Amino acid sequence: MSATFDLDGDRPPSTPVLDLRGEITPVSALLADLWRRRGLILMLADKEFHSRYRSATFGVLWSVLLPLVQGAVMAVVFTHVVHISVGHGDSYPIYVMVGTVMWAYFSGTLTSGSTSLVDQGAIAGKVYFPRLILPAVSAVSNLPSFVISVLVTLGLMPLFGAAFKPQLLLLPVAMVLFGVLAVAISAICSVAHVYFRDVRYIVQAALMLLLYAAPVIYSLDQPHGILRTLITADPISGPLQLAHYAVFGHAPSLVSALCATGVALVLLTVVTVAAYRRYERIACDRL
Amino acid sequence: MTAAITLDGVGKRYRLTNDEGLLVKRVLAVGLGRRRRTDLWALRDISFSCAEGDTLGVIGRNGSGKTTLLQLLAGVSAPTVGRVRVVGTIAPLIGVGVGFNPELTGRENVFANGQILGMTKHRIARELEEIVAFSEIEAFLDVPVKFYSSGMFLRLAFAVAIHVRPEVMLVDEVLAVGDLAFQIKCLDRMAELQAAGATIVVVTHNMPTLHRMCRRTIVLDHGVVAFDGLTDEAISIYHDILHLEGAQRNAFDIPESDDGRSVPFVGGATVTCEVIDDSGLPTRVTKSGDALRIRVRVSFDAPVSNPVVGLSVELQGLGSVYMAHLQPGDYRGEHGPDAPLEAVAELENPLLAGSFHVVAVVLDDGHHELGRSTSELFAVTSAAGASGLVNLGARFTIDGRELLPRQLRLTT
Repeated sequence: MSATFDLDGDRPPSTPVLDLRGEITPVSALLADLWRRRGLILMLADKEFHSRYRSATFGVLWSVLLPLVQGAVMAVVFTHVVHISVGHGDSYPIYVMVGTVMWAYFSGTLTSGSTSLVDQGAIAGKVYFPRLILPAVSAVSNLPSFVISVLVTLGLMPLFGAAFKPQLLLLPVAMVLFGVLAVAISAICSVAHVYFRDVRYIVQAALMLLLYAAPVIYSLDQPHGILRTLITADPISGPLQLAHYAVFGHAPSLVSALCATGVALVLLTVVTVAAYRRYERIACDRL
Repeated sequence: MTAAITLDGVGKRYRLTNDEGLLVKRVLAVGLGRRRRTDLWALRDISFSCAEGDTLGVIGRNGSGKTTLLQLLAGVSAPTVGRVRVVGTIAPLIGVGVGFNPELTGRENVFANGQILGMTKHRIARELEEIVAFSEIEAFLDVPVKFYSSGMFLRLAFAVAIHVRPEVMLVDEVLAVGDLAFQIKCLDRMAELQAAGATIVVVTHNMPTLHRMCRRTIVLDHGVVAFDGLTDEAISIYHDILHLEGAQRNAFDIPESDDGRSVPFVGGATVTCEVIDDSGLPTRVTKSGDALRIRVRVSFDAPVSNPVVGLSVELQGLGSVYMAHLQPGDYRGEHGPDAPLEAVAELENPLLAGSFHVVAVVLDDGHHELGRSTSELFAVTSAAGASGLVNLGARFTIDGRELLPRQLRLTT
C-alpha cells in the first residue's frame, strides 16, 4: 500500500481482507471483525446515552428515577394493599427495589436491543460493522443509569434496617449477568425483527409476562410444585436470585437457578452465532 | 500491482415476499398455502478486478444494480453466489452523514461519524481542525447539528467522510453535495486521494465527474456487465443504452481548450472574466434561453494597439462547447497601463442544465497571446423536464399542425 496511509500509524498491523463466498459470514471473520471494531460499542453507547438525555432538563436523573419510582410504588402496593412477605425477616421494600431495578435494566436493554438493527438501519445499511455491536450498545448505554439506581437502592438499605453483607461483592456479577443475558436475547431478536416486524410487540408482551415469571416482586419460596420448578428454570431467575443473595446473604434455589441461566446462555450463544453467521450480511437486504 | 477488488461470478438475489414481514401473517400465509415469493436477481455473473490505486467508474440506469454492487464491496451485503474479495480498509462515501445525531453538536458528530467510518479517536482529534476548515462551519462546531442548515450539515458530513482516507473508497453520487465551489473542493480532494494511492470506485450519473476521475468504467445494465473498459467508450455505450445518441455524446469529442493554445504566449495583460446579469453584476446562475452576458476586463502592462478578444464557453471538466473571437482589425483602439479595456459579449444561450465556465483570451494584432482568464463556474438552469446539452428547439408537424415537443425526460 502507498506510504501515505502509513504516515499516521493508525493502520491496523494486518490489512483487513473482506472475503465472501456466498451469503455465509465465516465465524472466524465475525469474531475478528468484532474484536477489531470493539471500540465502536463504547463510542456508540456514549453517543446514545448523551443524545437520549440531552434535551430533557434533568437528563440522566430520569433514567434513575423511573425504576426507583416503579420500585417504590410496588413496595407500597405489596406491603400495604396486597400483603407479600419474603420471609427471613428481610425488608420487602428493599427486596422489591433490588428486583425492580434489575428488571428495569434487563427490560430496557431488551426493548431497545431487540429492535436495534432496524432502528439503526440507516447506518447498518451503508457501513459495515459487526451487527452484534448494536444490541451490545443498548446494554452498555443503559449501564450508567443502572449503576446509579443500584447505588441509590443500596443507600436506602440502612433506612429499612437491612445490613450490608460481605456477599454484596457478588452484586456486580449479577448485574453483568443481566447485561449478558439481555444482549444474547436481543441479539437474536434484533435479527428476527428484521424479517418479522411484529417481534417488537412480541418482545413487549413477553416482558410483561416475564416480570411475573421471575422472583422480582415475590420470593422463590412462595410458589410450589411445578410452578416453582418453572420459575427457577427461568433464565432471569438466576441473576435475580444472585442479586437477592448479595443483598440479603441468602436466596432460595440459588444454585439451580444459576445453572438454568448457564444452560440458557450456552444455548443462546449457539443460536446467536448460528444466526449471525447466516444473517450477518443479508439481514440488511431487508432494511 | 495486486488486485484490491476481485469479483468472481457474483450474483445477488433478493427475495420479495408478500407477507409484509409479520410473523403472524407469515405463519398464516404458509399455513394457508398463500405465500408467494418473487426472486429478483439484482446482479448476475459479475466478474472483474480492480488493481490497488486504480479508480473504477460504474454507470448504469436506475435499477441496474449499481447500489447493490457498492453494498457488496462495502461488505454490508453478501453475494448469493460467487466471491467478493476486497483487500484493505474500506470506507463508503455512500451514506454521507451516516449516524449523524441532530441532538449532538457538530464536534461530537464528527467524532461519532468518523469512528463509524473507521477512523480512530486520535486521528480524528488530530485532523479535526482540517475537517472543520474543509466544511467551513468553524463558528458552529459546538452547536447541536439540528440547528444547522442543510448545506452546513452536508458539508460537515462530507468533510468527515472524505478525511477517512481508507485504502478502498466507495463513492456513490455524493459529489452532488453543496454549492459549486464546494463540489469543486470535493473533486480536488478526491484527486488528492487518487494521487495518494487509494483505490476508488465511483458510481455516478455525472458524466463530467466520471470522465475526470476514471480511466476505466464499467457499464451495468439489468444486473450484468454490459461494458468494461475505457471511460469514453463506456459513456458512449451507456448513452446507446439510454437510446440517447447524438448531442450528448458528441459533447465529449470536443478537444480540451488547453490544447487549443495554438498561438505563442507573450504575456503583458491581466484578464478577468465574469458572467454578469442584466444590471451588470456578477452572477453564478443563468437561465437556459436567456441571453448570456460575459464581461471581460483587461489591464495592460505596456501600450497595446488593436487588441483582439476571444472567448470559449466550457462545460465543466470536458472542454469547449463554443469558441468565438474577433478578427485582428475588427476593433481599433489604443490601450496601455492607464487605458484598460472592457468588453461585453452577449451570447444566445441554448445550453441546457449544467456547470460551465468561460475562458477569455486577449491577443495582440500579431496573434500573440497577452493573457487569459477563466471565470468562476456558473450554472445553467432550465425548466423542469428539459434535458441534454443544447436546446435544439425541435418542432413537429403532424397533419399540417405544428406541435412543440416537451423536452425528453432523462431517467436520471
